[in-house]
Amino acid sequence: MTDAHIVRHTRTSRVATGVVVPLVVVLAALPYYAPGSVTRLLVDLFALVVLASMWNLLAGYGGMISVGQQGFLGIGAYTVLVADLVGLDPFLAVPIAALVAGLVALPTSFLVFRLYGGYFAIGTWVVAEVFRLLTVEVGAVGGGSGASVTGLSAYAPALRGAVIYWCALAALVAAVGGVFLLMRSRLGLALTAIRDEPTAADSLGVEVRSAKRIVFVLAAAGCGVAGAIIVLDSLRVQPDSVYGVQWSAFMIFMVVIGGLGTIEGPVIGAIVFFALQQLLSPFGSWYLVVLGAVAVLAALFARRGLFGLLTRGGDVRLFPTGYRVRAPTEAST
Amino acid sequence: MLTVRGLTRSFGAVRVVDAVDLDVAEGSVLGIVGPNGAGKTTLLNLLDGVLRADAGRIELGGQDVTSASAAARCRAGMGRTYQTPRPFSGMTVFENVLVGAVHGARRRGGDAQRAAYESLERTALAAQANTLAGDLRLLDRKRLELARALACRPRVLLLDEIGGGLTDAELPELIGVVREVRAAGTAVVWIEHIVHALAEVVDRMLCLASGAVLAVGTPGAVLADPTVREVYLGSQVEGWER
Repeated sequence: MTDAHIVRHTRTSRVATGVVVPLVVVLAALPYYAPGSVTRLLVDLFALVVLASMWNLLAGYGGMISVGQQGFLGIGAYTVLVADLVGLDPFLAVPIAALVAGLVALPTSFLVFRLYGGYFAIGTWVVAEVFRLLTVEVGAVGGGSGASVTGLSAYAPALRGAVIYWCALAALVAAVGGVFLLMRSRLGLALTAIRDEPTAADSLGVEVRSAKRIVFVLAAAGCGVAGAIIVLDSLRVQPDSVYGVQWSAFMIFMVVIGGLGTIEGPVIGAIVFFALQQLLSPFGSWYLVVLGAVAVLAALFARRGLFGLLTRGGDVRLFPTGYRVRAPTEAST
Repeated sequence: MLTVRGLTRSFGAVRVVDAVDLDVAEGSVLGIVGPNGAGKTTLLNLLDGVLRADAGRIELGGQDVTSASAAARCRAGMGRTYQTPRPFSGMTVFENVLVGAVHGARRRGGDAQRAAYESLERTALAAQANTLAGDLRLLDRKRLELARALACRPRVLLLDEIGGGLTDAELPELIGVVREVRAAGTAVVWIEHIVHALAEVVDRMLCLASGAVLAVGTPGAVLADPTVREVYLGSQVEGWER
């Protein structure tokens, strides 16, 4: 019938694989030769990459603009605290945080999926506020002032720092790698179709609702893990901090700056955001002014994000999720 | 293959589709004509599942699909094209068709990819496989609608003005594809304003007016019907035989 064959990897992506795998190995070995201050900084960065990747999964691939992901971040954070209170190892709470956030997201989806567009965005924010208000009512987890995670004192500081770092690295690899594999799967194809034309996707056999629901639950689980890591790192949970809407603002910033709807964009956006945060921290609120200015500049001059700018709109993908047909006729043209 | 009884749908007080019955056998083409606003596209949306009927029953190959979603109907063998093409603009032509092969026809891996490519070949789109669907011109968008529907491996294919907006030179190619689809045993329901194109292919024709079936039968009989001439063909009556 045909000699055409379909390729999914590109030359760039093969080079990228050759760089990414050794890079992860080098990063994994970092606690053995780098000072604790470096790995601590990287924990913050990795948590941001996880958050950005999850928000991109929701908005860039699932078409769901959420302003309420801090709700799941907070649930993840409090899962660590509760695990600590009942005497579980706080590190064990990281995978449990994913599970709990995902389980809470499932019934939440039935509520917020009744809303579309801007209403969905506000609806998710309201849900996150409800989570915060409910948490504050529980005296056992410190009410409005929060509480400290004490179980980690059983670990020597150096070991504790290293294990937190490895947790964060594992979460990053799982988030970025997971989104990549997801987008290459049947579900990824469905999501891209839904993003472009939901009605046509429905007519072509795509279960639009359930595809979106899976994404909503996965993104919540990812944000839960990020929340758990943030708490392990700071050793303290405060409801106003972990449930703060600023997390959503950060996620949107990172994804929009980096490049919505790409795997690479959120990673780049997280690095830029983290660098700005670190460089500008001595200048107080000027930090927010610069963030705003960068967002405006990106909206004006890099509408497809920094990744779009770097690739100049070309078909460059370090993590290719699409399909390219190499037909026999193509060689002659 | 497709049996419809008493299909009815109202928007507010207006009955847009009113107690429509139709039967389409395997390997046959039913053409639907009617004036603008007769309810043709609404009827197709009801068959496809994008809209739900207020009353009536739809059977696809003996299976009752009246309460099934559009996605479930597609997987049961209902393919459709849209009058105004609805491509997945950010995806390539191949990826567009692959959605149908993977989700509509429930194929996997290389099997799905081969089926998708075959659909592109059948609709003369193979050379455009890597083009972004949003960059296609009208004829290719129409071809893509058809290719995607075919990739779903339909037992019933619903075509909504697939020839609309095309030139007389472009039409025969699409008609040829419809003929091939019918020859492979698929039942086709084809809405079209270009009556001469329709009359060339269809086995039976149905004229819809104000949501109700005005006449049904062979194309010759329907087009000769005085009431059909009056409500629909009017001054065009000399033109249809072209």
